[in-house]
Amino acid sequence: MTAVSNAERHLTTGSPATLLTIDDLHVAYRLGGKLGQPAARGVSVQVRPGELVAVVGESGSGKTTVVRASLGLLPPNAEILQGRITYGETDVTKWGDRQFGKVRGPFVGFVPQDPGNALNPVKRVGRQLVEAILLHDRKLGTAVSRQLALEKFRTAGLTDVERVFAQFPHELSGGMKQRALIAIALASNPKLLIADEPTSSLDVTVQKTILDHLDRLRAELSLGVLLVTHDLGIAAERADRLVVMQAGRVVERGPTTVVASAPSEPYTRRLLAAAPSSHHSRLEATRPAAAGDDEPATSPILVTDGLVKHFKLPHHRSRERLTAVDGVSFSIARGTTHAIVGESGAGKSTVARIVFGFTKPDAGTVTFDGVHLGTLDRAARRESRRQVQFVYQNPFSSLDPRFTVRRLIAEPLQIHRAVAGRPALDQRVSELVEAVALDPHLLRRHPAELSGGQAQRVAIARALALNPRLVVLDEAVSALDVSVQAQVLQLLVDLQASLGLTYLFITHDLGVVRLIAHTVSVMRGGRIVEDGPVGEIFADPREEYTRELIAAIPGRGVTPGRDMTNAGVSA
Amino acid sequence: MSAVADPVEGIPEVATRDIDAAPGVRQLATRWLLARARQPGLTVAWLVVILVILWAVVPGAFTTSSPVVGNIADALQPPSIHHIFGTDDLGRDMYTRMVYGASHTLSATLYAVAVGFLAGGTIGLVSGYVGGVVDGVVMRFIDVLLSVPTLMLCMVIVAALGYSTMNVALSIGIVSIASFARVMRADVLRVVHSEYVESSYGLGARRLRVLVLHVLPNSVGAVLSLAALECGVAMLAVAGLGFLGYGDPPPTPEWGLAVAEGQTYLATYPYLALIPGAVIAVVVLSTNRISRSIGKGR
Repeated sequence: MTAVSNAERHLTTGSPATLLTIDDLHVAYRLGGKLGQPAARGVSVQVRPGELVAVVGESGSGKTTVVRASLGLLPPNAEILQGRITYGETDVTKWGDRQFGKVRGPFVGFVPQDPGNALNPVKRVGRQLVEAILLHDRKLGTAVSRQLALEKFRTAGLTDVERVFAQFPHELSGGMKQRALIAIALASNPKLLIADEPTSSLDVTVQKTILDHLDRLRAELSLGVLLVTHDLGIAAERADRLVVMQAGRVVERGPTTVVASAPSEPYTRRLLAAAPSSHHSRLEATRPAAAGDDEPATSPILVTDGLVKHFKLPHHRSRERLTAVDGVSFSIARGTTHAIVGESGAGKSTVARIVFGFTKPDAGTVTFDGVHLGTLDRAARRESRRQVQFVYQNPFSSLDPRFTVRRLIAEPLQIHRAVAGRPALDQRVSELVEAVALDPHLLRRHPAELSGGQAQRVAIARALALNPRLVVLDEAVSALDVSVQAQVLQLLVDLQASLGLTYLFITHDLGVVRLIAHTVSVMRGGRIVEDGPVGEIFADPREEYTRELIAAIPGRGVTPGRDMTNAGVSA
Repeated sequence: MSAVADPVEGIPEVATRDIDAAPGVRQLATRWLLARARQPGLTVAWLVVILVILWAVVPGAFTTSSPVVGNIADALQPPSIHHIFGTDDLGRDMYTRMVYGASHTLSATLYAVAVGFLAGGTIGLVSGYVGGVVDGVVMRFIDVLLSVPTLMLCMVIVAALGYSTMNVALSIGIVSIASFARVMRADVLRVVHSEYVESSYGLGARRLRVLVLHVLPNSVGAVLSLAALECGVAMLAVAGLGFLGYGDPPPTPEWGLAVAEGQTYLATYPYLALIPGAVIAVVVLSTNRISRSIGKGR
């Protein structure tokens, strides 16, 4: 026992040459008493001081299992079958929770994936950081620990730290919460920081500042960082060394420059190709264009004029109203894609909801195919629903969890009695399933049994069921892994070509805009600050804000290899 | 209500967690038995409830004597081989009376829970779904209902409707409407604001369709668990009001009434009151145990 506590003390005070060594790790989960397929098979990773190592892979590749194993946070039904995890020189593979508890904090800090869930909602943020500080240094007084906490907030890149200290998590933006979590991870001056998808749920601009800051911390504190991400673009831009994982195995590893410029594995090439930054023009349709698509592209299918929307702030003392949308006008040509891009809170989703009819504008008009939507009566509105459809960001919350895939896709057809009889319904459902390239075997599953990409395909199939002419996509690919994102974007481009669809595409990621949109409006604070054809905006942004958004596209520094573009997403 | 649910905590938690079975292929039946063996409390509870249901459905299969006609010569006998629960002051076999009484108590219980579940669930569903002023007004009425002591309200209702076991059940059902409505409304509110409900409207669905196909199936879970829990509460209330004489008059072999009849002899022949009391307690505890396992499964 004394040997071990010496080891703990040694870890927190010494300066080992390697911080974390994972050697040939095999982990499997027990399900119903049986050991399942290993989630990690022979994974080896090393992190040295001052080094940023990125573990990259799609969902289900075992990244999170590796992270949990290296923190001693594996769930009780997981079992390490083989391999060693070493902190510095100390083997921690067999350590229990108590021993890990002593080094989590002083030796290793953890930044969790979803900043929205990782803070205690009923405690002030400062209090939570002070707790983390006192956990490993109980003798500190109130004033000292408070000063220390403020300093940690500053280190984590927060300004106005006094205010943040006294605020509750819900009063902070996503980016600020993530910075607060970084401050908590740094509370006891760890030597190693493990970050599990730290920016996946954040806007690209915020993502950039957080990652920039992690970079700076690593240089200043000579921190070892293990970054886990699904976006090879981000990893290639930030990491010193890359570890690419697929289905529990490491398929490729090496210095970033080597792996990113000359990937030897097809899987790595696919991941690189999936990063939006690897494309510099719109995706090509892989399906033939619809016949009879001779209508002049100049006639707009949707025109909005001077849209304004205020929201009352219910808990505000003053009678202040929030102006979410302030004079937004744009038009979309038939069969093209118009993107609205901006950070959270820019009012883009409100515009999407007004166009779709979920929200009534306070002023302004929406004209769809020459008809003012505001003047329609209920019956006519219902009919117009067939023409315009909506796809949400998160398919798991927008699909009824109790419905099977078949029922979900059939629902719009049943509502509008679009087809007569069961055989015709089945026929149409299988057409739609085919159109969105979904495995027909999934028809009897429930949404919870699908992957994110599959579920979003179901949502798209639902939206297409009634042959709409305009589809509103509200951050429809933002919640997906980049590789899945690329597939879904390709699907959208293909569907547009074959069905002559028009898209209104809402996103916070300009990188995605380039892949799918013809025209784009950049929104900020409820107004459109810049708009025009995508090519022009990218080549010659007039506004400083647009330039910032372009600079924030992850993985811009990556130069794709020679045959990158051919590797394609369909590979 | 919570005071009634408390005795459940007294049951030792024999059930161990499903940690592990030795690896290897097993027959399904063996596995099922093993699962039962891990939760002996739950298994016993199911056996008790099944037995009592059988009593209610086919009382003739469990006893050959009559629940109402006794042999005066056998009056006030303690439990024995011939009369396992003993006999009462009129020489009627107590076991037979308990068997025949099961149908009275059980049907009243089910009736009470059904009234509360259907009426309360519907009120909660509509109130939560319509929202606004309607919701506000309905919920204030529910608050009033919740603020009156339940037993007293039951007694008032039965006094107004007339003394019978079915009226007792109705009154218990009415009193439980409030809690059903509350639980239902809470879940409906959650579901109504979900994206999949909005998405369904977006497809052009009408309100009734969304209500029946999306809101109801996704919000009924907690109310079903509550209904299972309410069975024990209602059974206790039926017996309690029967004991106070609000149910069917003698010679009905209803359980609560049996306790009341037995209490006259509490000093001399205590088993007359204690045995029906024990039967009630065991059945109520069993239903609570089962409803708790159902609640966990959800």
